[in-house]
Amino acid sequence: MKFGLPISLVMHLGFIFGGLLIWNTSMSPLRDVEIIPLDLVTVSDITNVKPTQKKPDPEPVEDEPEIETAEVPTESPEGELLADEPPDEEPNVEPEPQSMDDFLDSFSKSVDQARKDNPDANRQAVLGSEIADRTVQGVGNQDGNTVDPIQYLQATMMNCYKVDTGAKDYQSLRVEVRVNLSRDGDIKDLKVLNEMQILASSNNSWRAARDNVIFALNECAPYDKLPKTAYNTWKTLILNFQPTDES
Amino acid sequence: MLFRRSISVYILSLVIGLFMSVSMSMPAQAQLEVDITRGHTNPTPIAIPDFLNAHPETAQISKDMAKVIRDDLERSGLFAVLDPASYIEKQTDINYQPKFADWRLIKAKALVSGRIVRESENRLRVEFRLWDIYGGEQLDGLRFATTPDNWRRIAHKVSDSIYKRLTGESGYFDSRIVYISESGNKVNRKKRLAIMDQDGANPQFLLGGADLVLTPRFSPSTQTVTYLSWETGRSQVYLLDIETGRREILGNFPNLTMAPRFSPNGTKLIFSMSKGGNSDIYVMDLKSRSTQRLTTDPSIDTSPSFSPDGRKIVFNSDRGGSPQLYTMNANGSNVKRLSFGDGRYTTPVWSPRGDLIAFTKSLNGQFHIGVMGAADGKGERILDSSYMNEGPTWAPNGRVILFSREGRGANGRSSIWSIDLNGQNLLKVPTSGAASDPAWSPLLP
Repeated sequence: MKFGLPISLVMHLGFIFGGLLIWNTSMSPLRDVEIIPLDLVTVSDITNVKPTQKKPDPEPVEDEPEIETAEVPTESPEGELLADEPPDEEPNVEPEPQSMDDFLDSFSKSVDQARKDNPDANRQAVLGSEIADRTVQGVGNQDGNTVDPIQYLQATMMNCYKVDTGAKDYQSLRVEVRVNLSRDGDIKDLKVLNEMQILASSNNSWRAARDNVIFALNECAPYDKLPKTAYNTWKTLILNFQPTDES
Repeated sequence: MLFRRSISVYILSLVIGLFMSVSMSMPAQAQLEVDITRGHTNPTPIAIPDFLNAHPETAQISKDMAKVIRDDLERSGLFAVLDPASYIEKQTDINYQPKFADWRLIKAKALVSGRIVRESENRLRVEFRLWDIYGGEQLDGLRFATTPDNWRRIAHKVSDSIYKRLTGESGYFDSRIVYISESGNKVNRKKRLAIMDQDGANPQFLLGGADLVLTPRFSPSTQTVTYLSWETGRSQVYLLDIETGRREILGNFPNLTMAPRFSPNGTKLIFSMSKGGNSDIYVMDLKSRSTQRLTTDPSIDTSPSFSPDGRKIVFNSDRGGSPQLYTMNANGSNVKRLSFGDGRYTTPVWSPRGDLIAFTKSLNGQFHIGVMGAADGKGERILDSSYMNEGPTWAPNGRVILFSREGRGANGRSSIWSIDLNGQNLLKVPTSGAASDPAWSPLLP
């Protein structure tokens, strides 16, 4: 006890100084930053980006001109090997270095020209329907790396999970299960989390609902379409089975 | 010494601090939580091979027994029995695990493997095992001993066991139906009291057919039937012991008595009796034969049915202007109207599960069989409609309803149909002739 306090003080001070030293040496100064002068421009005045707009009605076409078809030679002239003929080489002129003002001027001109050529360029294209009218169940190539685990499990269980709609109060027969999966999607172990509640119930159909869940999980295994890259997110699943009216 | 102790304390506290900081900074075990709210309602594929047997005398029984079990489960609508021709594994012994992979190939979810052992000339032993194909485990295994002529009942009992194990609810296959067998046209129709197994097998007449009989109902003991007969020239309530054939008139009432039905414990009989054009509900104690009047309303109260706990009675009454359903306590107090829909509601029957009331409803020229919530009359749903549907009766487990349907015209025949609680799996019960007014027995003991 006599030496405890001084030793403790010494060691704390040592930690603090050591920490400061390491922190100080590990920090590097910021590099000098080149400052670029900018003009602030109100974007909305320049761009034409607007919310979804209806596609303009097509203009009536009057007296559609006949399309003239020109005869296209099907064969190359004899002895003419296009691929081997070297193209006419333009004189190799070294481009003069542009100043910043010249560059901005030319850029501005090209933007103006592009806007003149295509006034609808900044309008959002409207497809056949204005809003999304169908649900895409999955995205990507569904190869196990892009599939959404929740959607995949819900869709898979629909094929295996039997709902007994004739059972008493079938919509209240909730079964909660924890499933540990291997990287290949096999079931390593499975536990019914509300087992005690099910066993204590007077509704025997709840036990059958629990069995149906276990049947379904075994039947649908292995869950090999789950993204292997995200194994850590689905290696332990909590699955809550509770049917709704739509079952 | 003190120095060493201080160092130890210091190092220990450092270690604890380090452990706590590391454990707190580590992410918790990742768990993905998913709600599964939708499944399918398809029948469960089940494989039921012929039962194994080692004696020539049991060869036919082993085939017939498997067929009865297949038919029972198939008719329930909850199981799809796979064609035996598709079975890959041919089991030779039920005491070995089946090759689950072979059964998975044909998409079986459950397998019933059984055998019949002839223990003596008049004694068979029937064994079966129920397997979970995907779980790879035995779900159930039972053994029955019986006489050879009783094989059908054992088959029904096996069906009940499978049904119970896979649905959680009691089956209804080992039960009977008492009904009215009809012959002749509508003008000159002969009605005889008859009984059969729930699948239509073993039909037998219980009475000669000289007198008009109506509304047979089983007692909970399954040994006694009550019915109405005009044997004495006026309608009277009878009791019939179906084993001995002994009959008894219940009470000597001077008035028209109708719609008798047993209480759930079989000690009372409830019925309606008409006096001066006013029909009321009465209950009779079968031991003392004393009768108590339960309703006193100046309207037609009839078709009473007890709740499964015996505390309530549902009946139909036109006290509100048209026939509707009402409930009251078993002593006649606390009358409440249950149905409020359009049409005329009649023949209410309380479900054995206690949650629903089945009824007949006439509306827009059709007769409908439906169910509604027993507590408040809510959730009414029509299960089947036709020119003439009537007289629902519940399966012992409360999942299936039988009713009678009559065809149009003078030669329209009556027949008995079954339907499940979801209004699906409508099936005609096979009878040798026209049949009506079915009443389902409880499960046989």
